Amino acid sequence: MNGTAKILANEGVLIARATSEPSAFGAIYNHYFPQVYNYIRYRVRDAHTTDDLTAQTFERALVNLRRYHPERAPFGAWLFGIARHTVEDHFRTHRRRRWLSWDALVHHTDPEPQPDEVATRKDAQDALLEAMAHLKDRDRDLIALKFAAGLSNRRIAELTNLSESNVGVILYRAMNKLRDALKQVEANHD
Amino acid sequence: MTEHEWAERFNIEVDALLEAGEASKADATPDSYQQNLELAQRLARTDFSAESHMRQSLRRQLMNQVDSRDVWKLQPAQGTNTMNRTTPFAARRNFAFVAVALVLIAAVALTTPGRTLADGILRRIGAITLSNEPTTIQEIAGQPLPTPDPSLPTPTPLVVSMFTLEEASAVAGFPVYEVGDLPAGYNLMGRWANTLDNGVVNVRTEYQLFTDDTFHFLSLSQDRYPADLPDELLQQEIGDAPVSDVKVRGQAGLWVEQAPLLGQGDEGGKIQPLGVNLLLWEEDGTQFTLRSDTLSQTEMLHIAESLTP
Repeated sequence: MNGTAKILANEGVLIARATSEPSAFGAIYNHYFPQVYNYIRYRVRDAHTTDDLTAQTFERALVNLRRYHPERAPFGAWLFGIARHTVEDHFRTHRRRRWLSWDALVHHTDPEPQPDEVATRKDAQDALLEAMAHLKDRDRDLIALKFAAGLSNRRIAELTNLSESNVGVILYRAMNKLRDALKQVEANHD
Repeated sequence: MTEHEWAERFNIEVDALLEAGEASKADATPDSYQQNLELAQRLARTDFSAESHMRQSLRRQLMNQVDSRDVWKLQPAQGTNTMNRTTPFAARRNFAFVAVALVLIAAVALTTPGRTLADGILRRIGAITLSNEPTTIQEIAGQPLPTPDPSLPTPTPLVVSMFTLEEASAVAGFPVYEVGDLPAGYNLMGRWANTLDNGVVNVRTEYQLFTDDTFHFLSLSQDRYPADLPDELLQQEIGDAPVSDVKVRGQAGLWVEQAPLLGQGDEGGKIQPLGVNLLLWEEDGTQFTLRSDTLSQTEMLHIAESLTP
């Protein structure tokens, strides 16, 4: 494992050509879209926000692609660094203008699901997201970097300014918490 | 084993799992440890990306940028940071405009369910009831504006997800319209379509005139409401804004002049209401609303006539 679990074949060539050849960028996009989407989805829960932040991530990546240096980090680690900053920017902005949040007001127009609706929502993905929502943001970040992005603990450590051993311990504890939360969520749904 | 040793072993097995795609059966380990490995496998296999509404349209948009080299027009000068392309003042101002737009969009949205149906009903148009109750912005007027944290990075240009007309129509289940004759300087900024859990279908198309000195907006909403939606969710407060009858695309419509639906900060850092013009009508079972901060009734009627699917 060199830092990114799912490497694209001919990735180096495609990246070099992606600034001038749409098909090369399209191939990179196709490969990384699910990973970036899943990383952001685990962190923000809301599908529409995930779409927006995924779009911002790829837009930033495209604009900055010429500054990517393969000798410094694998492309996946660089891309998830951008995704992570995009999510953090979103959280900061959201906190700053919470009072005028579009999402919040739309949510007000959309009544909370009734208990019987919640009870029937047994989809495994929903349960996983619901359990993730019980974790602290740092724990969600690490789990998403590990399992959605497929990064090694060393790459996660570089992105998060934690030591590699700390990443391992925090991840282990986060998985314990997620397992307990998931049991609780699934018990509530049964 | 200590917690650190368990953590180390767990991480080694997770890395092997991510490489091989399957969790190994760990011998002589507690049930909880094995459950964590199974959970790791579940996390690695879960893929939410099929739910994305913009995967293909974003791909097309980005590939077009590469093709037309538009992306390089966004490139900052050598050695500068994309985040700091605009001056701090311009960036703060631009951000304020975006925030104002969000206030507008939010405040124009249907009223919150916590409210009761107003006594002061002015008019009905289609499913929507206009009332002269105070708007949300009027209710929070005078409160302090949130103070931007100067240590935060300068906001980057907003990138919005964009549905094509076809994609939006497919999500909505009815034809989505676009403005055929936009006022000079206005550009399409985004198009969204959404079906809420309560059955409301909402399509929104945003146009903006956005220069260094000016910001104006034009917004088109197409909404459909289920018959059993509570009345209080179909109420739009407009304060004491005047309402008049108009004919729009052959339908009876309403013109609302400068309803206090928009918020901005005054010199004292307090929220103050600003006016929004509304043109509302119903057509083929869809509620249409055009909103603008500045366009006149004549201009808005002309825009409405130019709508095409």
